Amino acid sequence: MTAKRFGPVSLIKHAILWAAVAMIVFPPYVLVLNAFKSKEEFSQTSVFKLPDSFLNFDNFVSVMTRAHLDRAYRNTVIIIAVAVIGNVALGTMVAYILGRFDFKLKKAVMGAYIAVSFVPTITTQVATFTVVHNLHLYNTLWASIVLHLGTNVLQIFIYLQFLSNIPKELDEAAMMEGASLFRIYRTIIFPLLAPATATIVIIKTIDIYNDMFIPYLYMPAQKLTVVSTSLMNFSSERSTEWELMSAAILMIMVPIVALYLFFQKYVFAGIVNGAVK
Amino acid sequence: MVGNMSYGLQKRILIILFLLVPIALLATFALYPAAYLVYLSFMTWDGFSPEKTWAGLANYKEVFESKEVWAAFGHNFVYLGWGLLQNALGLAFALLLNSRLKGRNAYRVMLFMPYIMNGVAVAYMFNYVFNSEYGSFNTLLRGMGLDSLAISWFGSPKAVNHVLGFITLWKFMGLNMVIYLAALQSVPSEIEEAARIDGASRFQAILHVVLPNITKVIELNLFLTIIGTLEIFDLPFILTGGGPLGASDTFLTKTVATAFKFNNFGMASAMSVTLIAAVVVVLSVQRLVTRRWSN
Amino acid sequence: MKKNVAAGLVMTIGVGLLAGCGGSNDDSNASPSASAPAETGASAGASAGSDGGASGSSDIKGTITWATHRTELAETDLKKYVEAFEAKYPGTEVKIEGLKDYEQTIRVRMAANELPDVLSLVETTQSDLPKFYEPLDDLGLNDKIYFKDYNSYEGKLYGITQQVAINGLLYNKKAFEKAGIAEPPKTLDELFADAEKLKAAGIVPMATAFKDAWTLQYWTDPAEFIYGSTSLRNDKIKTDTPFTVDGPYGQGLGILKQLYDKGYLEKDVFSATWDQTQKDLASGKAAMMYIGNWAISNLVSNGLPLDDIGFVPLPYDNSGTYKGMMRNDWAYAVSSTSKNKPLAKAFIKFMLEESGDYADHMIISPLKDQQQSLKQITDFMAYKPEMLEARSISEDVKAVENKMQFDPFKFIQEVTVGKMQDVFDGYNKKWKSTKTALGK
Repeated sequence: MTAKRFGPVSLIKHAILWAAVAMIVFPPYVLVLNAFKSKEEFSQTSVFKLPDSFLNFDNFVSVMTRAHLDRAYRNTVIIIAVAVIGNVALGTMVAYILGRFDFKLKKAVMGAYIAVSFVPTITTQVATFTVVHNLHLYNTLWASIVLHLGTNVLQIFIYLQFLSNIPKELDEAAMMEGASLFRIYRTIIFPLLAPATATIVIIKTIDIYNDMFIPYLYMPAQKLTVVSTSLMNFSSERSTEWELMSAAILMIMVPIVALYLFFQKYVFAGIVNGAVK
Repeated sequence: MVGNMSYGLQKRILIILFLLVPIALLATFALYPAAYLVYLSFMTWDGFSPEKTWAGLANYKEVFESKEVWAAFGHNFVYLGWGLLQNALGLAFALLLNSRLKGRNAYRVMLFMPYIMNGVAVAYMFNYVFNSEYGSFNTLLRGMGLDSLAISWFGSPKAVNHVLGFITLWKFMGLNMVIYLAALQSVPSEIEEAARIDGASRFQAILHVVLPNITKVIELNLFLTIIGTLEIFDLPFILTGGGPLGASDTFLTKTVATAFKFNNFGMASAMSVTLIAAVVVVLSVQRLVTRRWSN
Repeated sequence: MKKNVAAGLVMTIGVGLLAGCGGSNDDSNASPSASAPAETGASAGASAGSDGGASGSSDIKGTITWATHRTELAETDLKKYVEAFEAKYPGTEVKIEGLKDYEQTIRVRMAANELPDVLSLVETTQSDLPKFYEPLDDLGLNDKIYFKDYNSYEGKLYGITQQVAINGLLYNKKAFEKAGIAEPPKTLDELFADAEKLKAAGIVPMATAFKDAWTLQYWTDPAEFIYGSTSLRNDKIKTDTPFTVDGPYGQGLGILKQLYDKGYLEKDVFSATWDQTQKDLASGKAAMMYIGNWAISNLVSNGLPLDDIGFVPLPYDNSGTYKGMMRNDWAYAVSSTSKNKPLAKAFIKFMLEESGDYADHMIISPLKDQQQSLKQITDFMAYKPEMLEARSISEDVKAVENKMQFDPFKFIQEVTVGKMQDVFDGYNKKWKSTKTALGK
């Protein structure tokens, strides 16, 4: 079954996909145009007009210095590295327990994860803040790490879905050879969950990367600024310096897109099929 | 040493060890604040002063008597409609891109791109797309001679929620797609191929063989969509601030305004609890429907 | 993110107390630190006036945190001021926190008792002011500042406004020229006549940034001019029907409404944002706006030369006499939990007296002796307007407004685009029932 290159069906498919891509690309296109405009140029010309020069990197330079992007990236990377690694470890552990064993409180644990996903976090911030403050995590990178560390319904479901496709016989065969349960988790389950993990790493990384709320509320100190909150340097409650904001948004989008391109190979490589068979 | 333990004992130890940290995190940062929310919903509190007084059910009474709150909740269902469409599209694109198609990796990347973008960026960009005078969408409509359709998108009480619903779809469709794709990857391709060999069309094979294998993931996506749309906050908050004249207020923008603008934390907490209850009701309906469908 | 512009500004105006409570500078209430030795010659240069005895320079050491709502300046101008302060007082460090959803963030931190040392004061109930904030009487500025009664309780001062704003008719002289208008309007009739000319010339006569709503708040000024006092909002408590078409609210807001009805505002008001409005006023696509003098610098930074900017009192009737409105802004305050109050106070004093903030940003200093020499301000004053000062909202009125969820900006929007009588009836009904329910 090889794809017919120019068959009518595949033409239609490509047409649909191109339409979707066009709709997706258009808004960021506006961003690119305006990132290269000077303040006055931006103020006096239409947003859809091409910039005088695509070589005007002034905005990018002032973003770099004013937002301390180097520091912001460092903080962001630390938070993401610790939180994502911890999150994947905890997530796979919870999934392994819930997916492979029966015990009394299993339903309660599952239920708790589902229940808290109903709660809109913005309305519980007063209580959460007090907790973070009392644990002396306020105004440290740990505030963001700890709040992103816990696993959630989405991850548990994705892992459980994958886990159900990993045959129990693999566990049993290992047990016959005398492997401990922890060993089974570490050498069989965890590696076989890799494609799911790749998906989760991507989603989690993006979530942390773009999250403004937690760093903003829990770590306002300037030296703890992360990439998303550095955008706030370009707008106040009343107005926004859009030409700088455009440049800043582009600059913070590039690394995350690159990361996604790198990881998506692993998500879509279809490792799971090969491994399980 | 571990090897000497019986599997029964190992199992018990492992359950405790593996769940200890996750449950501690859950209890501290999610369950406790949620419980506190319920507690506050029975109190009168302005949100900052040290004194809280018992209010009984007065806050709930106020929530249920407020016409504006429920009108705002009505707007959430517009988002829900767009959210369902978003799921359908996400699934359709996932199926399309799970087949062998030239350049599918590039398409996958592109369709997921909006989800990567910062929410502020998205709001900002769409401000320019839907601006009534110089926005690109109206420019396009006028160019096609459809001047009468070139309305004030953020200014029309009828259109505004649909515009916001569309933007939500634009941003989150890729996430649904990726989750569906991940699930489709875990469905061995032999199943579908076997069905095809038995004479089923591609469409039939998908409907009767592939989809039943991923019902759990469909439910997961619906679950996320329902919570996401009924609890939508950021987008209307940033883009319209609830305007024009409250036409794009949602349940949660109302809640946050009640708490922080009108200093009524008791009522805001009661609103949150009410919202949670409403979400549970809608989710139950969804489960009922999907269960019936999958049988 | 564009968040609570509205709430933010409500608070700016709303923070506060019953008029008449504050103001008395009772020396017996002076804080203990007032007995500290007066500043010696150690502090170089610019120190204007006496130091009020609060801060001997020997106490001024260590580190404080300063939370500000002026996020866009946090890494530029404000940092410059902080560096100047640190240079003046070696061994000190001021950490800036630029907070965007300022009000909401500080509220959450307030509930956890975690306030920065220096901050922009957010609203509490009057009696809670001492719980969260430190009295600032020992700065010795009480007699020198505008709006000293605004954030006071039992005779003590808890906040000093960071600037004074004068509201006026801001206009682009080039746009006027293009429409053949030689002089700014001197009467209400002239205002409408000029608007007609501008409209005919294809220029938006009156910009409002209607969608952003907070920019509309200034349009209640005419109502207060007509009422003759800024107690208009507080005096609502005396009546069950505060909003009447032939009363101050109806007549005052009627000006904006007429402008809207005649098509003198933006073509699509619900798309008009402040970001776009600044550009349009600077480019001459729009001609006028009724707003605070602080907006002058916004037009300049959008490329309009200072000489092309006009600023005059709004002619709210045809009498040829004028009134002007002075409003306060966010106020500097020191947290009562601050561990380094001398430093925090010294910093506020520095910001007010020496930073040069007002000159840099073309705004009006809260210190009466720091005159703003900007031509636009002197032009405005040449009309000899009777100046009214904004008043804090009384506890009772605030309680009723919060309970009925009164959003003053949305109110103005509704009056402008709706049928005035119906809108007023709706609000009067809610006002009466809420007031009765609260027993006020």
